[in-house]
Amino acid sequence: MNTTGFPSPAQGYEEESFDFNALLVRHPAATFCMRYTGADIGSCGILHDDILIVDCSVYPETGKPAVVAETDGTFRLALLESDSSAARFRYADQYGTYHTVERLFGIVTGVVRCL
Amino acid sequence: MIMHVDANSFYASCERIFRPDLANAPVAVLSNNDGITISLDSICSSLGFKRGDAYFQEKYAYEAKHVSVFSSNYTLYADISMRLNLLYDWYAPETELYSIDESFLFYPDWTNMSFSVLAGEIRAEALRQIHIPVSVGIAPTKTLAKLCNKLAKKYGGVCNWQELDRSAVLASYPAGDVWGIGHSKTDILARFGIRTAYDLAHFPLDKAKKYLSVTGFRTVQELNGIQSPAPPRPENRQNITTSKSFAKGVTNMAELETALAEYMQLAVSRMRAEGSACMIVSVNLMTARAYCPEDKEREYYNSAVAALPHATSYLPALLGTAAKLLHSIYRSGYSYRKLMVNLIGLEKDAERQYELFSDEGPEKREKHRAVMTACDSINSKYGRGTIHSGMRNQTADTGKDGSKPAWVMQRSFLSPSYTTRLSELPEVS
Repeated sequence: MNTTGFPSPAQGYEEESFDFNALLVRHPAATFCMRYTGADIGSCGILHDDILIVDCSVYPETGKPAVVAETDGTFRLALLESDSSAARFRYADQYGTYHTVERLFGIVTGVVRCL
Repeated sequence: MIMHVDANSFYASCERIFRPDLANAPVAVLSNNDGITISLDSICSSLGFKRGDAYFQEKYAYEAKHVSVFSSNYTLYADISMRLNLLYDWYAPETELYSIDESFLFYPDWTNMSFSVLAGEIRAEALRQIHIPVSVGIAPTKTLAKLCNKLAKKYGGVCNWQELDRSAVLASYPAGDVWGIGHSKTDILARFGIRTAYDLAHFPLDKAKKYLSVTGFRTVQELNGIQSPAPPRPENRQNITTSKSFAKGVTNMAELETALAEYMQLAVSRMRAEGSACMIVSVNLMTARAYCPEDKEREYYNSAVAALPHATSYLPALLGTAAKLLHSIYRSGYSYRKLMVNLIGLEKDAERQYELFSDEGPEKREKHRAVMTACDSINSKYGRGTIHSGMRNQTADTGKDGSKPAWVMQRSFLSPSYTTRLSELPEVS
């Protein structure tokens, strides 16, 4: 690799502002941002209109908030609970009815919110 | 050993990621200006639709069969393509992004391992992490790996050359479908009685060199399992990629700009040689192990995509855009190992008369530097009308036949920029 042009006298001294991606995105290939349009869920700190950081490389675990794809074609935020058959997960909808997770999109690993 | 990984119906699969309602529905993607169908999923093909169908002719058939039709959203496809390649980088010591939906993974010294198992894992993780189905061909050469990939659907998504009845497979594979041969050469092959890949593999090398040029010669060698240094190129492509891993880590912008200028010139000259123009430019920059880094402080990866107002093959415009993208993702203090430039959404260049920039000449580097400075006024990462200044000298002109340049592309069925615009994020309720 050959260098062309004049090197900047400030080279090596540039200081850039920190990058929030470094904090929020652990797996850049598998991380998507999504907008939460549902009602506030205080227990996991997710509020209406938050930007969800959704990491699809993280494996599901009980207690984790996840994005699941429902049969009607919408994405839903789901607090994962273990199902009676241990291999699967379930979640309760706003009416308290339980659904088995058929299609997991990813695990919510962070939230971005401006106050 | 070499793996060829191909995303299945890539554009259509991308459109499905954020549309769970379309998981089992037919999907078709149209070219720039909604002209022809360029990608359709397997359900759509099973309904009898084909790539290359003119949209205005098939419009009512699509409606009747409830096909979801999309305009090409190259910003989305480029973003997803980069994600796939980050994943591949994690699974292979060396990778080559060959096109927007195809990559080669190289395993030069790996002998005692099950490539079929590894390929199965790559498929599963691409689906789980990026929600894109891929298929994998495994073979000792690129040509054979590509050939295996074409057969992969029959073998459950992974096809390993080592596990095949090789002669039988070659004998049932048309010679014209072999990578680098193309249908232009099938007439010459027919004169020698060559119809299948098996015949081609047994074509004497001296004749191959004489009648099929050096490309054909290499193809014959590759079919026999001998890796060729310069692989054959396909005839029609939808995108061009130039990327290189640096021998040593590169830390400063000046060197990255030089590399960018070189890759971009290479990509643009290839594109111009094919008589094509492109709409979308993307740039990727990464340190050695940007994916799942052990030491996050020292690793960095980023990419940026820009859409030009219309397709162009004018180097200054493309390079200026790429330079701006590079500046937007560059962070000082990292030791970079890889830079990648993509020209996406290739179409026939309607403006070839604008031979404004000579690709040859000793002062080319000077020109590149000047261009990069001049285009500093381009001011946004994500196109749509913000990049005019870089395009002015070209688009301000009226065509020789008096035609006005098409400023606005027709994209009636464009999906949101799910992954690149905060205002268009997919919604979760």
